[in-house]
Amino acid sequence: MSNSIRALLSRTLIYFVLTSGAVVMAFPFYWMIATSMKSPQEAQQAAPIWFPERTIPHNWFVAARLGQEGGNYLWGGFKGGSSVTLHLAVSDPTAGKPRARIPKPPAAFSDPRSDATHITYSRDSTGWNVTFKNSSTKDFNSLPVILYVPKKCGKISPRLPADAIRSHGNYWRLEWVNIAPGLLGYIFHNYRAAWRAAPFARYFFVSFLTAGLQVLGGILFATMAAFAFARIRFPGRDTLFMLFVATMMIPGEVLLIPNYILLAKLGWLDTFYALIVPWLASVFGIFLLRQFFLSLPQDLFDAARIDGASHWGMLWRIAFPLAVPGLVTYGIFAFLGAYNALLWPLIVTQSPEMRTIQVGLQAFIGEAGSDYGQLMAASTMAIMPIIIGYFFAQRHFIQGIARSGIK
Amino acid sequence: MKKVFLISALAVLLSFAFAQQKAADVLKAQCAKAAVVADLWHGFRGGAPRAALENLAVAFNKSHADEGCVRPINQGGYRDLSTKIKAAFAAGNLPAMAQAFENNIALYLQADALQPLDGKLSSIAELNPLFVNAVRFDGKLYGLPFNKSVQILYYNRDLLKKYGYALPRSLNDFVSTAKKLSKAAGEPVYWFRPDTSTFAYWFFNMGGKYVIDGKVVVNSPQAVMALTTLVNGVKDGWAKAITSGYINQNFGKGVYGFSTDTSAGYSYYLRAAKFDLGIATLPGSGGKPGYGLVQGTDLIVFKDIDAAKQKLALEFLDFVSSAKAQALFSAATGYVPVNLKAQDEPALQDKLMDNPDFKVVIEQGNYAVFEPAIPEWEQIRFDILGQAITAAVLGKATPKAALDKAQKQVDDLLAGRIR
Amino acid sequence: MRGYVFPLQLGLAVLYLLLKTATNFSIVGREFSTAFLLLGLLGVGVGYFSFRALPPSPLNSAGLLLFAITLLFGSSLPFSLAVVPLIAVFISYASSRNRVPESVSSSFWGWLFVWPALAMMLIWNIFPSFFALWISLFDKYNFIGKSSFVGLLNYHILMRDPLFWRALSNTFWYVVITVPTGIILGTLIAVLLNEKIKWLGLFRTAYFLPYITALTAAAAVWQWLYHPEFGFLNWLLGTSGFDWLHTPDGVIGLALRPLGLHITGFWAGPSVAFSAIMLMTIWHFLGYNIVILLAGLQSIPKQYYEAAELDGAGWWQKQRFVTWPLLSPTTFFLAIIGLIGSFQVFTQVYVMTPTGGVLNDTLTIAMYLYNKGFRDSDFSYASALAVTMFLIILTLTLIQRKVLERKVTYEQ
Repeated sequence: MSNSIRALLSRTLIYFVLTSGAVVMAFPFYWMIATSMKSPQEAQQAAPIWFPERTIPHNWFVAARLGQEGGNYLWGGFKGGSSVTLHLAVSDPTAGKPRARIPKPPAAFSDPRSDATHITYSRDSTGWNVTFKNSSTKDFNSLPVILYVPKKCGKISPRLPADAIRSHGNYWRLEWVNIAPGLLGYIFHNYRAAWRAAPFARYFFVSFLTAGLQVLGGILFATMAAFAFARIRFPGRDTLFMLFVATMMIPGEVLLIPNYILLAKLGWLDTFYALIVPWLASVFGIFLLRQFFLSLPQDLFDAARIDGASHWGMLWRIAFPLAVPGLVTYGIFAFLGAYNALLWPLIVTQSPEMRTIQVGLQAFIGEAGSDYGQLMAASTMAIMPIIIGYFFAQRHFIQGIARSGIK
Repeated sequence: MKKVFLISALAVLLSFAFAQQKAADVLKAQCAKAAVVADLWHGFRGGAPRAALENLAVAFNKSHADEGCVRPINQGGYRDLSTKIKAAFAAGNLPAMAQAFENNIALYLQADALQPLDGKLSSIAELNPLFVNAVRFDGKLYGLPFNKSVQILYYNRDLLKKYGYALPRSLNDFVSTAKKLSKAAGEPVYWFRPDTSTFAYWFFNMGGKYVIDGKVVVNSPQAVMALTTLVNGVKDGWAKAITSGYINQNFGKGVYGFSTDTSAGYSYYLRAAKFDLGIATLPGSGGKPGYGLVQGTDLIVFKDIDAAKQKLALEFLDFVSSAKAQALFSAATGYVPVNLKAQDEPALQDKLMDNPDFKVVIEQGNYAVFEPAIPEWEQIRFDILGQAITAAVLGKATPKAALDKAQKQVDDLLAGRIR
Repeated sequence: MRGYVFPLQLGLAVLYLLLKTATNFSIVGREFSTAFLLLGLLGVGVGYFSFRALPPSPLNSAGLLLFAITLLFGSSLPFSLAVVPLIAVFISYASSRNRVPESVSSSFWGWLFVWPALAMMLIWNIFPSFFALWISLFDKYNFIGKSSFVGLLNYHILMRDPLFWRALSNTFWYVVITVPTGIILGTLIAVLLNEKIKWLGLFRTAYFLPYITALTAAAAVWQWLYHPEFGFLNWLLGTSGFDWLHTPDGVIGLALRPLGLHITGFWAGPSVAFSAIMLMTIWHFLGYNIVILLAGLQSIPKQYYEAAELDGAGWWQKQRFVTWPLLSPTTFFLAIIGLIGSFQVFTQVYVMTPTGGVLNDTLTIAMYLYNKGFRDSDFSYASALAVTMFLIILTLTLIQRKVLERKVTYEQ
């Protein structure tokens, strides 16, 4: 009896420790995603907002409707000839008229959007309707608005919650980053803004190409070398293998400067070569695959030998297919390493076209300034591919990492 | 399989939306068609300065569409920028133009990498001579003073009004007002970042000089006095050191009264201030404004680049030094208009009408001082002097000890005994 | 002896190709023209040796002749023909492969398979290591000014460089704190996860996800959690305004201050800022430790536990006397990996405190190397730093091996 109570207690304790640990580990992810849905003012609150306005379904409907008025219910916009009406409920509509303006970019010689927008106001029993009409034929992809409402009007509740509210003399200053956002444009505003603010598409392309080619090249070189070390007898083999293992002792930092100079002399700085070529040969990969090839039964190769297969044939037709688990392990490792690297791409790239996603994100951290919503959106985007990959190939990830620890 | 479908559907939806909606960046479009693209590497990470520079480039490209385009590229902050330029020397892929501090220019001149600008700028006579002299090396002009900011006095009008104090106009007055106000408010009201820039205000206005008889001196009596003033200010409770971020990012954290900060921060200050923010020329002596440290970069053109790019780059420099461009740039960013005629331009007139305080920035530009333009200055400024100031202010060393140590490091650095 | 024919041919041909590329891109100077001479003489020797050793055939002779001649006139051959000796080796092999014993053809294939990887290692790992050592003997080697040979001056300066010692002491604290914490926490969680619990996959994912998250993004998120004004952590702890990442005071010093003790310098411990970065780092790599330790746990044979149970051991005793000793190879592995990794900490520090902290209190060796090499463009000094770091890691690993190996129980 007491035994089963003790067992129950210890089970409870185990689950308690594991759950609280898991919550701590997962919390930064929650916080990242929650912040990525916040407006700057929501993010900059001393007390945390757990569910930002942009996650509330009621606002989604409003956003979709306003987006529809501007052109597209999913992604919003402000099409030529369209008009968007914002309803503003106030306690006392007669107390004063709101004033709206479209913010202009700094130092712009002219701003077509604010020049083209015609703003009208109409009062009804519950408040004011502010209508923005695009009197030009140009389409704009968003409609930012600043609205001043007299404080005398009392309590204000706009149909779409303002992204920021500040006191401005006798007025409340309400600010929307986009008054016609559409459903997705509203929820994912920060993602879209970040995506527009920096060439993330290009960053992703560079990262995927770099990581992908490193993996492919690495697999090719490592398989060949590993097969030779495991399955071919040739003079100097053991010495050579020792040499390979010894190079694992060289820390990457030692190579940073000489390789940089080498790339400079080759004229390869700021090119894909610099990102890919130095990382093609991996002792870790050779090591790992050699273990795999060693574990294959000799009979397989003897049979092939009798059938007249060459070493080349044995490698690609027999050994390679059987080594797929090892290849996946190595592939995941090499891909993670390349995708998540910062120092090397930071050093060897200069132009934005050659930045990997990590360098791009690092640059964006400075550019986004205090707009943590956009910054968290960008961070989410940067880690998403790997996380998605993990959910598809969870088993391989875990086994791969576990295998790296077995010597 | 359901998972695959869902995710790929989402991916398609997202990519469609982003692709369709992505704003046709004007610059990108301009440069896509252009035959010659002259890159301009800059250190404006964001905000008004970056937008203003990009808009200047857009305007320039419009009027020079048949020749090519100027493409501003951000390389991070200023220190990242100079790192990247040094890397570009190695790679041999220098841009056509870049922002550079005077000490960077001195370094690049060691490699003879810069194009002299003499005779290339049509409005040279209208430019602020103090600024232009700072970019003359051996009599030749190697940079166009561009985003120049100058130290000014920021203050909280509401606070001064509340306790009935007048704006201090001299150094002593400044200290005593800060003391009285701090006492009244119950906490230090002079906020400063413990770095070389803040230090420079006190140092220069106490008569300090960094170069004495051709030798770099950072522990002169004036330097010790300046640093002691700051350290005592913290001890006596009228000065508060801000070690994280810019001063305006800390407004929420206490009672702000004064700061001596760069005019480049004006728009950020304005946006962050929930009180009535005022600016003034620095408290000085003898009824005159105090000297304000000039910061910010010059635009340089590299020498060994494609001739067509170089031509375009020089034309761009000519364009941005014009009164009109300077007026627009200054109005948008709060940088000191380098072109003295810019004040007569409508853009700057509007700005002054809108915010008469801005006159202060222009006025302070006439009382400008510079730090030494030697290649090692960057390291001295941040790693040696800056660290000494921080250490003293945080109470890790006395001002005298900190500066003496810094002086030894400076001597060692310049003599090649340390790296 | 015949087994060496093809390895020698291949070796010479590949080395020739590398040397030719190096001279073509002026990576090495004129002084290497003697190397061509050496290669040429060796080429003739190897050619003759092969001619004697391999079964004669006209095609083989032609191939060997081509091999010897191209190597002999190697330095004047145009770059576009640099692969000719390699082709000659193939001709030589193809013409004789059916008439040589298998061990000889194996020697060809073995080296052929290894060479691509070996060449990459030579170009990007082995030669550069020596080059790093070489340029560390020069004065301010960079691409802007001139530099001269100064011997060990950079090392001499380094030994007296306070920032180097600062970085080293930061690294010391980093190792002493993060490595044991990571292993202890990892073991705890792994042991619990190994207790046949439900939702294993879910828990494992929660603990593992941080590890595959890019450090850049993770650092950005933690920087936001640490934000002095709006950060979640300050809200949680009620320490509004506390600036985690810009507080240079040592944590031990801070902890002892209420007792009236004022400790400064090294023994004040890692700064608050650096501790905050360490916390984030532990969060990041804990999942890796857990997965490795879990695999280690699962490889412990069940009989040991059964035997312990028969002896009447309780849960705790089983962990103490079975799990911990049998897990020691794994913990040893993690300790070495952690030690090496801690000398390379860069990303999170660079993102969270780009300038290295208020008073260089978050400066790490890798960050200092980056600053010296790429910000101040002094490749020599940075290389001296790198070489010193290599020696330190090497020494520490050897010591660790010696000390811990005696205590590590190897199973089987």
